[in-house]
Amino acid sequence: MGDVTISEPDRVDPINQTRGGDRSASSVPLTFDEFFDDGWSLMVRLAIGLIDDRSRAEEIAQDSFERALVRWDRLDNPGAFVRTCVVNAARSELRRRRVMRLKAEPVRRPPVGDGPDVMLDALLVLSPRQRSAVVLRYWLDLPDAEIARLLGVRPGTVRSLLSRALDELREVVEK
Amino acid sequence: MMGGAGHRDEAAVGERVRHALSSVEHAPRPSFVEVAAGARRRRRRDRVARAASVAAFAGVLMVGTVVLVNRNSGGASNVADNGSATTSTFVVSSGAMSPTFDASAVVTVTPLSGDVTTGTIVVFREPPHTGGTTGQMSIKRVIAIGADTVSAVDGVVSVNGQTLSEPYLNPSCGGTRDFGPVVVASGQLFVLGDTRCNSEDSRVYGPVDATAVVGVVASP
Repeated sequence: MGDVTISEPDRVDPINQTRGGDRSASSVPLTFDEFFDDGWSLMVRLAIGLIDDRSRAEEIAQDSFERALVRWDRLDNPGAFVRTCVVNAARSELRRRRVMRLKAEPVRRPPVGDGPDVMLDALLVLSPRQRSAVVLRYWLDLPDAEIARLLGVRPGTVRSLLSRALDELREVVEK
Repeated sequence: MMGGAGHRDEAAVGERVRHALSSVEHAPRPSFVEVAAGARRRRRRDRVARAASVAAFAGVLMVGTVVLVNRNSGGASNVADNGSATTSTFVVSSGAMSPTFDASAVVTVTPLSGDVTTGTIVVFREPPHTGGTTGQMSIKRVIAIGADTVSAVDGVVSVNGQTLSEPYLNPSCGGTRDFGPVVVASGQLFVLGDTRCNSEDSRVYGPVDATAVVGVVASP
């Protein structure tokens, strides 16, 4: 699957590894305030993409920034640190919930339409792992290897997760 | 999947995902103060957890030695200013002073002023000895002071020939195994734990220098 780059000049995220947030690579050291200011929206929306509960997603994002602040002086790449915190917290949240839901999982079909909420609903049809892979790829533009590391799977698995997720989501965009 | 159509699809899906998440309403960024307070709570929690694991580990390793973890290490928040003297708080992490202080009891320690009298409980740095940890903090009862002669005969401790009444002892030990006589040098203290049958004290490492005393423990 080829890399897709969609240029969005207005979207600047120093928290994103691929565009900075790595203090070792940056000439200007980032203060926590700047980092927090820049990264909040990106990380909350990452959490919302990973789990479908917005208030829980906000808690996860705030917790992750708190963790970063605790060890701020020791972090070489605070962006990667916060991202990892958010992904891990979302994964354990999903694991907890899956145990509760296993008994009666409703069969959901992707909704059809072109509003933003339709895509969010469509994401919920995916398995948690597929959804995580999609969100990390398209929201954070992460490479397969990094997504694999975050999800604890092999890069080949990431590619197959993404490919199967696209098959599901294609239905939504084509209508 | 790998053809041109696949790429177009992928681009379209990616764009829709981005658009969807960009449009999500979410709470405004919490204030820096709020996050800083959360980080402080976290640091405190980490410190307590660390102290607890150290205490548990030390407790397992050193049966018979009372290990103390100073709660004040790393922060002044627990130090209460008590007039001119500053008290500090310690957590007892083994049972050698039981039943007076059980493991995990919290004790308040006042700095030593003047001479130590027999019967008081002190916190001090253990002298180096085989199996001990250098500078290990310990809590024991002072049994004899400088110029005293101390011994145990038939399970009962005597100081200068007088038998000691020790109501604070752990009854399950059935008294004190015989030792001595030991003559305590001036400026030294002979200390014993209240659980006589499971306490590493002056019977092991001899009398303790009065200068090693950190403070006197308030009665439980």
